[in-house]
Amino acid sequence: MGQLIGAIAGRLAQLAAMLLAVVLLCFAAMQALPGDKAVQLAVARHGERASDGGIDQARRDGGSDRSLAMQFLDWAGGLARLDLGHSLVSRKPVIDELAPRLRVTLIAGALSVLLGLAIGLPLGLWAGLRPGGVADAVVAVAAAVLSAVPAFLLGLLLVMLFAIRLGVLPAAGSGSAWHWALPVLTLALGFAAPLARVTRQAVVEAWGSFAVTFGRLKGLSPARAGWRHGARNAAIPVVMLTGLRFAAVIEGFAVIETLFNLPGLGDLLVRALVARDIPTVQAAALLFGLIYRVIGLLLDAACAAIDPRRRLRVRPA
Amino acid sequence: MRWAPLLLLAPALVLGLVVPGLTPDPLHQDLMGALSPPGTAWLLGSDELGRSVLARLGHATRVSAGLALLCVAIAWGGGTLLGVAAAWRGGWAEAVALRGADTLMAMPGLLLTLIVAGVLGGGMVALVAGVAVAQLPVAVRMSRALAAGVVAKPFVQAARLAGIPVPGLLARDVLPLVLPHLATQAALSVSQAVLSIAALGFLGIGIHPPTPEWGMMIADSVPYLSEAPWAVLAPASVLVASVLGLTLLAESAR
Amino acid sequence: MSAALAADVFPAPALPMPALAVQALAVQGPHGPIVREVALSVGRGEAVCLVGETGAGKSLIAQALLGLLPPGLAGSGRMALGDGGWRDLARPAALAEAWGHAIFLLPQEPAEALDPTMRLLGQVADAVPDGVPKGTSGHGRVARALGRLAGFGLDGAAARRIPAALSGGMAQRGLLAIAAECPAPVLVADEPTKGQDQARRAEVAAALRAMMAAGRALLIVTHDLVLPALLGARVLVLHDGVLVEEGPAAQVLGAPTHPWTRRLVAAQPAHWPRRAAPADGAALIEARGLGFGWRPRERLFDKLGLVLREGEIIGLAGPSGVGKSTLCDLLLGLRRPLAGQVLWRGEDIAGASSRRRAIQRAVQKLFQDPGAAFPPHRRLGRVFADLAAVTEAPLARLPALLDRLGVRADVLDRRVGEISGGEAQRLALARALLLRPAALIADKPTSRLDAVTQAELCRLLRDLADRDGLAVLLVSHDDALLDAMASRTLRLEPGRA
Repeated sequence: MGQLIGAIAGRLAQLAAMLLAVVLLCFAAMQALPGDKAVQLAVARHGERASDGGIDQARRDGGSDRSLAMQFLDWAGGLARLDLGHSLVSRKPVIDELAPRLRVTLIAGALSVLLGLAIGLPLGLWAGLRPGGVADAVVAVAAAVLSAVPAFLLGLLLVMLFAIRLGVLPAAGSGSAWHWALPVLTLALGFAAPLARVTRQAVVEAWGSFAVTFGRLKGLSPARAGWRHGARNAAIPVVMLTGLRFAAVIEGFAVIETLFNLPGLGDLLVRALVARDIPTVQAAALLFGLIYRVIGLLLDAACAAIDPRRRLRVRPA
Repeated sequence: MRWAPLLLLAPALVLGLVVPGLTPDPLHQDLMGALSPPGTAWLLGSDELGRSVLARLGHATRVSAGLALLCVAIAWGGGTLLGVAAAWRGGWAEAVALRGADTLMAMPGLLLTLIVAGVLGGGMVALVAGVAVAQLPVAVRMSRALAAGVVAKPFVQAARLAGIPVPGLLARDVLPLVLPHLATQAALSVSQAVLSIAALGFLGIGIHPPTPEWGMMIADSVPYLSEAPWAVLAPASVLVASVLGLTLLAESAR
Repeated sequence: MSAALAADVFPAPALPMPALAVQALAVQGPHGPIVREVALSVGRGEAVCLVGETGAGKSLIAQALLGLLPPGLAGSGRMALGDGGWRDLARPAALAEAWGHAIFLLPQEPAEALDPTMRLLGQVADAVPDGVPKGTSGHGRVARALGRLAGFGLDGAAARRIPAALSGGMAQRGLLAIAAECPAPVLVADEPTKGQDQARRAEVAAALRAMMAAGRALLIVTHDLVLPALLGARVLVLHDGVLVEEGPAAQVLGAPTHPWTRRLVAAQPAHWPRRAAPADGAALIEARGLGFGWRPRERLFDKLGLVLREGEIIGLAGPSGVGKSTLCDLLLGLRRPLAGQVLWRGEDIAGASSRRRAIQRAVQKLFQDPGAAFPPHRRLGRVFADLAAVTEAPLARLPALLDRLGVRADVLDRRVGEISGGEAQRLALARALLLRPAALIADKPTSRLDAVTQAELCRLLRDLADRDGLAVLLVSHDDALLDAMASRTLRLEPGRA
């Protein structure tokens, strides 16, 4: 148990360091923005009200005259009170924009991951149980090609096929449930390809281990020895590497939501980056970092649930 | 099968090395000939502004490949130095290098690239910085792990006990065992960098137009996808073939 | 010779059939035959030990009988398992059908055989045969497995641990429990006593004797020449892929007739002359109140004292993981102790950083794995040339040294992967000696070498101590070896020194 708590504490420390780095980067970017820094900072802090007396207030407070350290404390202090600031473009509180978009991204993400698991796991298992067979070759080629196609291109190809050529699915927008089909399929395929490859490898290694052979030596049938001593050992690397592959799903949001005009968090981040709307960029980046790490922690927990070496006292008595 | 990686990389090599010398200015516009299909006048067709897709593709290949190699050289050159030094020193230096890498890895790589490049305002320097920052922690972690494995070997301990000077020991006994593995990973990273640069170009956060680049060429022509699919498919197929070729090349070396 | 022809030459034995009969067994490698024309039989309640040097092919015989030869090797010949029929050794899939009910393998490494994610109890229960009374959810099997484990000194709590939470000895006993529970009348054991000290070897022998008493036939592959005597086994001596001598343990090992068997027996440490304790020399290495541990409040050892004098060989023994290698690192100055000090010629090495290089060369080390003691990618001559940075004319002094150590000079043109382990270890000794050390710390230097090579290396170490006054700290698991070599032996026990 101690090990597990230590691992979680380590992950949280990394998260904190990464969040701090994002805040520092965004603060530095604010300093580098063209135009009146006092105005920018005032807008970021107070939004629309900045036009009334906020700017003068900011100037009186010292604004750009104050030391950088004080300005940073002011900037980070707002965040510590969970005040994400105001958009430099719309001058509205960032949080208002964030909430509905987070919903879109989480739903699309969950659907993509579920679909990706449903495609990738069985294919990987099928290929791994018969290494060198037809399924193995098909999965290897498909996974290699799919990993070489960037998400935006995969999305475009699916649009060309389903929206333009076949005309069965809408190309972009967010009107109906059907609008979600192509973005979810794009992300799911991008997730399923490496997942199938990892699963195949893990299955080949686990089923080929001497522990499985030893199970057969004890008199278990080949199938029973494989499932009894192979399945759990194969699942551990699959879950761990799924954590790494998850990064690709999260990255995919930025590109795919933009491509399909889906109003999610990734779309917001890209728009804000193009407009250099730093407070919005910062909020979206912090949220993405948080989601990534929370998922990482959940996967760690899943690993511990599967692998008794992470739960039980492992040092010999 | 042995030639597959080279066959896949051939289009990019021809486009990058030969085509820019043979074709007209990639920025030259012929609005009358906009969206012409591939044929004798336009070998790979023209785009929405009547620019030659072939000429633009040639220049884009140089830009994309050159930038990708630059990013990888910076990230893996610096990362290897840091990683090997951390493995040799051990103690707090190693801990600092690893925790720093962990911090950068707490954000998915492409998002980190996107945020760094975007916040720095786009353009070539921001793009290279963004891609290199995302690859640096991977390079540090991997070179440290490989070097730590070699440093713990008895032959390194024996050389230490003999008092053999450290720089020579690292150069002769440690690096030659680490570099082949790192080169393979760096080759895989080139394909990652190509993908990242294309994604940023596609999103409009990469290098500034009108310099052609694969991702941006694709993004520019997407609105005309149904009328002029060649303007999307030409850069797209070169991109996919190159990434696949690099990946297969790296995996065959493994 | 083909299997069919072999059947003519070796007619089926008259009844009663032995539990295991093997005829015309051969193993073909990519460059020719590795094992040729082996015939053997094991009766019910009998143990047969296959002995021979590393690379003689004795493990391949065990693997061929089970159809577990590594890729690239092909077995041939035939085997009968007491049930009348002959099985073709060229068809591994058919051999696998006999696993569990007719033949069983007791593997060498518990760490590889046991499923790391499953509690020991379930893995033993799997071996319980079908005829045993079964409960609704396997309670009968579990109860029986618990009883069996208790018989091997593993209580219910230990039975419910995963393999990583068991000590090496407990995991080995777990494997023995599985072997005992498995109903197969024929048991093949691969090096069941490798790397074990006397106490654990006796434990394994007792378990194997119990299986013999139960009427099972044991074929044991081993390099351990004490085990056959403990079991009262028949011994088959394998040399270069061919059986050269056969007979009861007392006869073969007591009065060997084949020249190779004679060499093998003479190389056993128990037959070496004992080294007389040298006159008191100057203290070269001294440890005072040494303490070390990986966790703050758990010490591997504490208040450990040790003096190594000129011309002296001291032994260091103790079970795996007790901290022998760590103690070596402390004495070499590669690691700092948590408490106490290490002195070389009376000088504390912790405070000698300025002269570190000069004095470091006063103590050198021999490694357990000689193949890893040289960089794999460089010619050995170049590694010795590197020493020019720290000692004068290393390559000029080398030929005489190699001559004394019995190494051909042309090995310097090769890489370490292209020479034998014995040659590599002697080269490692040459590298250490070029630096003119006063003391040598040898961390299990012969554990990866076969008996004959081990005897030669130990003779060299002894000669260096006798004639050159070299002080040696010799780490080993082999009590007979330490008895012959060391004037005294320090034993580390878990939890205390």
